[in-house]
Amino acid sequence: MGAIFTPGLTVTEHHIVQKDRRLPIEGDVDVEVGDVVEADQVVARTSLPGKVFPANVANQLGIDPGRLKAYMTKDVGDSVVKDEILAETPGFMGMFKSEAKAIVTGTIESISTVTGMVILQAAPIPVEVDAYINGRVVEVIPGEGCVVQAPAMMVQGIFGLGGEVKGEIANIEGGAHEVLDPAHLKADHAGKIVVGGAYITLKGLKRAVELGVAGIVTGGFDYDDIKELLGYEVGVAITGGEDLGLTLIVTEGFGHIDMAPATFKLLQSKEGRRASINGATQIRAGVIRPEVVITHDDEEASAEKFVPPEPTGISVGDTVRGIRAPWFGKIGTVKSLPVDLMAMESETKVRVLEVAFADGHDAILPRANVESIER
Amino acid sequence: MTARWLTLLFLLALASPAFADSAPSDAANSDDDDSSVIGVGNDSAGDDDDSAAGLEAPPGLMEAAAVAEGSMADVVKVPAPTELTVTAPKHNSGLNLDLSWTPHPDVEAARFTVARAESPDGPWEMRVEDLTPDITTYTDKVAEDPLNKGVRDQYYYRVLALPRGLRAQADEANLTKPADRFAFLDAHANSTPAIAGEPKGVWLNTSVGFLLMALIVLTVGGLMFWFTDRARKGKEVFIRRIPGIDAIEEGIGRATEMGKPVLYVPGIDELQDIQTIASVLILGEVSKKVAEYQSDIIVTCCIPLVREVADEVVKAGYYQAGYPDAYRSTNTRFISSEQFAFCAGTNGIILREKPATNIYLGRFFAESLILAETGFVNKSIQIAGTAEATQLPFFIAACDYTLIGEELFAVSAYLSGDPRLVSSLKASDWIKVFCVASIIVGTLAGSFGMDFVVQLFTAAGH
Amino acid sequence: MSIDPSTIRSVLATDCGSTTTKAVLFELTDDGWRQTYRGEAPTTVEAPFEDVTRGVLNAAMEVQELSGRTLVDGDQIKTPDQGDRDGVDLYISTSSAGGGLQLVVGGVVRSMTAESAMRAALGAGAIVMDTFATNDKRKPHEQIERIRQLRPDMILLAGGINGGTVKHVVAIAEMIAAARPRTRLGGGFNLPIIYGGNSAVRPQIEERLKDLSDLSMVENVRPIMEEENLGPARDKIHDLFMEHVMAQAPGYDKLMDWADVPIMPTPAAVGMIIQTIAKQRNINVVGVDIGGATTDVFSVFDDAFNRTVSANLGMSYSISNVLAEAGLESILRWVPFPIDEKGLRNRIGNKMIRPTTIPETLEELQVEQAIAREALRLAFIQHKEFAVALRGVQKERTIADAFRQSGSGETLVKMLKLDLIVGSGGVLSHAPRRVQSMRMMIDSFAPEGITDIAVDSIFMTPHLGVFSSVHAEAATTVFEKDCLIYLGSCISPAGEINEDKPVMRVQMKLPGGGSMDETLGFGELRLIEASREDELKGTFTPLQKQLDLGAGPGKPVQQVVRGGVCGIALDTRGRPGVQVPMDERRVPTLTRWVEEMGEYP
Repeated sequence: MGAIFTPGLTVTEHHIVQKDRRLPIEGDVDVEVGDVVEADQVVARTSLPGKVFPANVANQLGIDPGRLKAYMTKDVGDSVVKDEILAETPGFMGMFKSEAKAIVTGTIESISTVTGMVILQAAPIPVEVDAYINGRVVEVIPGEGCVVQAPAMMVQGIFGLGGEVKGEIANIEGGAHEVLDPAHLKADHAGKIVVGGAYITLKGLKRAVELGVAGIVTGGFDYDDIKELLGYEVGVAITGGEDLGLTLIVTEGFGHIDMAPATFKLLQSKEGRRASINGATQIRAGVIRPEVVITHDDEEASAEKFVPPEPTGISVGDTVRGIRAPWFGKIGTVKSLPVDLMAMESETKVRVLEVAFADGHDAILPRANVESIER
Repeated sequence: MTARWLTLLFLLALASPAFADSAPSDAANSDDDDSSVIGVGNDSAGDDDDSAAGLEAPPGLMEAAAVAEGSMADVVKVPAPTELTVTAPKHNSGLNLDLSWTPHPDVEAARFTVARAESPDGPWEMRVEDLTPDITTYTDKVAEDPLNKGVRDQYYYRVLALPRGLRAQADEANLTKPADRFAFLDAHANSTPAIAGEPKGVWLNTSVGFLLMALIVLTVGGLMFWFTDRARKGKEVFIRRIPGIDAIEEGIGRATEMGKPVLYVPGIDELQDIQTIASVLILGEVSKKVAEYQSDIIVTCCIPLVREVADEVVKAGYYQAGYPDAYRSTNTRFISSEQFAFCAGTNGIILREKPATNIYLGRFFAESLILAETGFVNKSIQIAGTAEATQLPFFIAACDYTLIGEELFAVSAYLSGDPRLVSSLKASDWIKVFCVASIIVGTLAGSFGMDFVVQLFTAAGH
Repeated sequence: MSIDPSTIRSVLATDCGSTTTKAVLFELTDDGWRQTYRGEAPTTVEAPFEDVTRGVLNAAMEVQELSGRTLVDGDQIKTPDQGDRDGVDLYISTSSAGGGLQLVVGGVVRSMTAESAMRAALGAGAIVMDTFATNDKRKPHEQIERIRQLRPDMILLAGGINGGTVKHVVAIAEMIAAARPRTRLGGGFNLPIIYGGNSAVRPQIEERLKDLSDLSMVENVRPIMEEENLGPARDKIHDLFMEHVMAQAPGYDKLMDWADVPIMPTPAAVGMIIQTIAKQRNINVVGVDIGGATTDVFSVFDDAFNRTVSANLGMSYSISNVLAEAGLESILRWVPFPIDEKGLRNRIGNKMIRPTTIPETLEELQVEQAIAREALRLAFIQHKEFAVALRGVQKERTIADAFRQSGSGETLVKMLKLDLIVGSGGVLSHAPRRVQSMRMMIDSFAPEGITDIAVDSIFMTPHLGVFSSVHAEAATTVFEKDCLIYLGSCISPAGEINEDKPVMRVQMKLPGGGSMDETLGFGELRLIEASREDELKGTFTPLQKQLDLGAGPGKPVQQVVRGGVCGIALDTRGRPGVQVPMDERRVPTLTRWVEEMGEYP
């Protein structure tokens, strides 16, 4: 099995976070290497080409497309306002004129003398990219964006819905095994990132949307509820663009699973701190996990681009978590790493490791079925 | 149910000997009816000799009648019929009464006359004067108004047995007013006593024939409603795949790829012909599809009026598809009202404009093969459809797809998917199933001498 | 490629997948051409390595250690063979790293030129992201929006036969021009666009697309309605794949330099070996490769090759999509124990977000194999719908066709004519017991008549595909000897079964001298042990007149059948799809089949 996906989720108090801030298409970058930026500061901007509206002007005039240019009153590149005349035929002694009007305000993109089509492009839509986190610009990709780097607390989730939001961390009452239902949510959670629990009910989530909660970080969620929430099933784990009203991050998986103690403790300690979270998940080559980032703004952010060390495999003594039945969600430490393949109950022959689980059990399980918890 | 097989079965059934058998028997029935009509006609002319001969009275009586003829004094009364009964028909609407009597066994009357009165004492009104001696029943209509307004509870009837020559005497006496004439006849003929009858109506006609009819009508209506309802609720109403219809879209696609037009010929018959109507309906769907593909369609017409309608239909198709600007009126063309001039003109279009797809739907005659062969030479995909049985073999041999008979009428429902059209198509299919089943059962039963099925339907017919 | 096959004695082949790079060594031994050693290493296309050759060298090193043959020379693959197990004569490779080759195709009519273009793209091993056509029911501005969203590696544009429509083709080109599409990998490169449509429109196409893209012209994929000419477009896609897509991926310039024949997209190579085997043995073959994200189906029927990619049917990344498309009920009909539905959904969801995990318990394995059945079944349905005869072709008829007017676009995949099914991909190749793979394939493909079933032992079809382009004979030898593992054959009658009557009579010699004569009823699945070497004469008689075993409805078939690792399966569970009762009989029925086949411990 490839090692690409075995790296565990990062759950750490101190981490050098680098964020690529890129425009979807070419544009202008407003910052330079070394600049200190705030999370809400715009670092790059551009304008997306506006929507395109084709109209068959030759047919509207009732002429052969080949002669269209002769009757056009505007040319490629000209800007027009809605209902402005684009083309007209002279008619007969001022009568029987026919004309074609612009259906939208914009510019003329092209005029076709084969199909008779005139393509209008509406006004461009401005796009801005902010810094997302407080930090320092360590690299500028000309025309595209920059890389912002900062020392920060970093917690990666396993699956998320919704895009980037920022807000204050608000912990709910109760422990890591709490079920987040509407009773836990209060009016002053509006605009905040609510953290806690092992599971959020559909009702709880709907209540949070009503209240205007910015984000929710919890242990688990029912796979069924996604369909209920979005109106479609997420068949392939590529998310981030959902219009949910908030950003949801689950740290453990689908079902009712206690949030890992380390994660829970770390987030508990950040009550009231401003966090940047992103639900975008992409489980494919080039994996993207949802994340909670809280920058340590009191520390001096280095202007040097930090080069992360190559990931290492699991070794004896590491803390790991089971990610497949029957050990799902259980945490333990690696006791040994046998070299030989072993047959599991399912008769599948796999590479294994021996784990001493926190509840005192020892077990042998496939290496692919654990993830290391980085600290 | 496959409509194609149904059609075939239907044709087979038509050709079967059992069906042929039933035809002469029908003819025999109608002969009977005719003769009675003729009989009545003859009598009114007053020529009793002819009619008597025609009626083939027993020879003994013939002589007696000959003797009796002559002066009024010669007229000898004949005994009146016996056992007159007046009853309301079983499944009566309340408008009729059935009379039945038995003629005197020894002497035969020349004619029977029926009279009606509202009380046993009269006044009597002659209902019918000249029933021949072999007729012993009569159904009297007491009122014309279906609401039974003014109908009395009771009516009285008498039947007179007219002796030979009496009516001739009445004619001679120039008795034209019915009342006078009846008085004369009544005075010179024997009559049954006045018998009362009550024209009682019933609400429901429970005769077998009527019930069968009602059942068929209700089933047909019910099926229509049921299928329409199902189709509206979005349930799939299965219609078997008809490759020829599916091929229409394929043909349009081919024309699009080749940059050539589609040629559509809606037959050469008048607009009111059912095949032309079906064809024009299909043209609407076809032109919509053509517009969606942003391709061109040429329609050639043999009848000016068809051209006008076709043009409107094509225009509507382009509008519905959302490409009103791509519609060209000049592509719907009137060629000629002359069959072969039209054929030559259309062939010219096939050869010059080289349409990629030719669609011939409607009523065709001798030009069918000429058109289809030209199209074949031009390497067009050809889809034909006609209910003209004589032209089908040519189309089948020369075209890619041929819609046979009824399939032509199914196309517009099939293409549009309109629940109403689809459900009526489906319902009529089931009726065909019923018809074919009846024919098969009737044929079999008839072959083994059981004519109950035929009787059932005869009763339904009445 | 001017390589003389007779001079080759040893070949190293690699396949750079998105997660693993697999290296395989083929050698000319005393026993003829054989696959001798294999090794694998993680693919190194992404950060932090960003050089595909490191993974290739790692995998080659593993082979070197196992075989004792020197393969790696410093930072190079050592060619040619110096003799004495030093170096190899040929180095070849395939690649599907970075999500493979993603294409957008365009044509005039969806079921005609657009479909031909799609066939060319799929045959070249690409994933078709979207197909644009005049009649795709989208308005031009919707099409433009969509093209903008997509970031294909290239665009294949077809449309119109030669001398055919001009305006439709130009309209599509204008739409593409208006969208100004950009490549997936970004950078300063223009998007490659291949034009393979009406040759008369080339000047207009050039005028509209030349400045926006890297435009190349190939022969029309549909020169006349009656014929396809996919070769030139397919070759061009391969060339551009090398020049553009590969050239931009880290390390590929070096890899291309090493390889003695052009690097092929993995699915194109698999298609190639399937075609080669079908041609050499003159049989009809269906091949399937079920991966984590996608399932590829290949078929060769009467020389017509087709490939489809079911982009969202897979066993890990796309597993939830299998659930969404098949529905829970369809999956449940293969699970031989009662299960809580919500729990099953969460389980599948968790496999999606942790795609590399391995089923440890038996129940997990059974659930995973149930899902695999549905993924395969759905992918095969999609394939059947795509692998059809050309549409828009003139037909010649006689009067005898009056009541038998067959429609056009019938599927080419005729199950009764199918001779061999080859399965590959983790869930099939690495199932703990081979008989599990056999049953998965029987259940999902529902073969009819007598069909051989095999699996790819260690997923070396891509390697053999490229190898076959150099040395077809050697490649097929290795394919038969080392790659294919014959599981056995399946005998099943086609047609709707009357459940209350006997279905099939089997009279057959048994291995070891005995014989059997049995009548099977409905819903039975039997396994008769027999190896590939056993040639068993048998007479198989359908006992219901509508059932067909290949000789026509109701007619008996006399044939020699051969077994395999598992044996000969007799299946009377219904066709075209296996019928599983969904009430309380489900678990006992499934358990009976499982026990008969000896599937699970």
